[in-house]
Amino acid sequence: MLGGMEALRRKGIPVGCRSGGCGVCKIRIEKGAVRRGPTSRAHVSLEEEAAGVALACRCYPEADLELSVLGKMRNSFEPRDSF
Amino acid sequence: MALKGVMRPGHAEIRVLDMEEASNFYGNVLGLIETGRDSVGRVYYRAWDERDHNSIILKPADTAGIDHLAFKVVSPDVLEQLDSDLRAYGVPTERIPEGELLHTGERVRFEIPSGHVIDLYAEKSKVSTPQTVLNPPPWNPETERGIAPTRFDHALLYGPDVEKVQKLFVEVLGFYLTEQVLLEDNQTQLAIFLSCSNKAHDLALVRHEEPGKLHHISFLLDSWERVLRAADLMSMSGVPIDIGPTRHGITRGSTIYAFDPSGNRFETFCGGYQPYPDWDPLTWSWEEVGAAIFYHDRALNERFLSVVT
Repeated sequence: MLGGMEALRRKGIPVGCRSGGCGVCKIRIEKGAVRRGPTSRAHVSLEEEAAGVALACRCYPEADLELSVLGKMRNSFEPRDSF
Repeated sequence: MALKGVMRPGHAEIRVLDMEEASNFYGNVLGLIETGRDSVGRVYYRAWDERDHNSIILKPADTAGIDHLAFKVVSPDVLEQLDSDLRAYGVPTERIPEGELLHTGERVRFEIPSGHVIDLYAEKSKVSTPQTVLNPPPWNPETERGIAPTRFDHALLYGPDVEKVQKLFVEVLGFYLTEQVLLEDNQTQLAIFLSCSNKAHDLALVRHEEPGKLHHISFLLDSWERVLRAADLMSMSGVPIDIGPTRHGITRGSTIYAFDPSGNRFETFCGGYQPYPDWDPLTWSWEEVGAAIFYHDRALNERFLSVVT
């Protein structure tokens, strides 16, 4: 799914490692079916998976989809107060 | 420094989501040499110019990232001394028995303030390789298979409290600071680069809220031409590239970054300077942070900063 978005030069889902590890392309599938590939449990728990949450880079659409974007880039280089 | 204590990063144990994908990548695309598999499903590799049994260990897991980073120390006596030095400094340690990792001696394990697990060890079996110790060739067929780095070189870790990590590595483990990046206040360290040898870095850290994260593990190549060849092989194999080929202001290394099939970032690089213990640490100010990271673009790539495992 994420590769398809990139190939079409569309934006909307953040693109990270493209390999199921980093979690920035986290989505919730609202409607439609996907096949899933290996995904880090640090980013999609079993409960979330059951609720349709997935990483877009590891989703292979099997139907038309409706989804919402949950993931975002978090920039370490922005100064914060306490870390 | 006569390398009397900690010598070098010896191995990294990396968590992977799918061992078939991962072992195909590390063996055939990156071109490491598989040296063993153990009873819990871990797969062991060395690079072509390394003589120790392993430097990269893949561990099957349901999350990506780094399990631990280990440094090889010069002798068992030094291992005992560093263990007692760590405890005297207030860092709890534990022992991992010999053989828990294949061909690897007893390890001293501790956690650093950034949330990463670090091991020290003195012994790892040497293996016989085409790079014979008697009349060695300059290269051999292993040198040409895949990207084929000469060695596992360093790691960049993300986590909090980098100044405490620096203090621990400098005061207890004999490292020294080679470079740093400061935040806008011109005081808080955003990134630190530490050496235990005369490499520009053996370990680097970037300040980050979440503890224990991996930014990348890094592999050394001999030339800029080999970096370009690595980039070619990444594209030929469909490896997701993060950025490069380009050059860092920090360390002056020439580099390309990409992701393994579990999303763990890796670097293949060449070059950099050779500091000695009288080195004056180099400082990059916030205004020049773009050039510090990517010297030509002089701008930060959001993914490079944000995406970790």
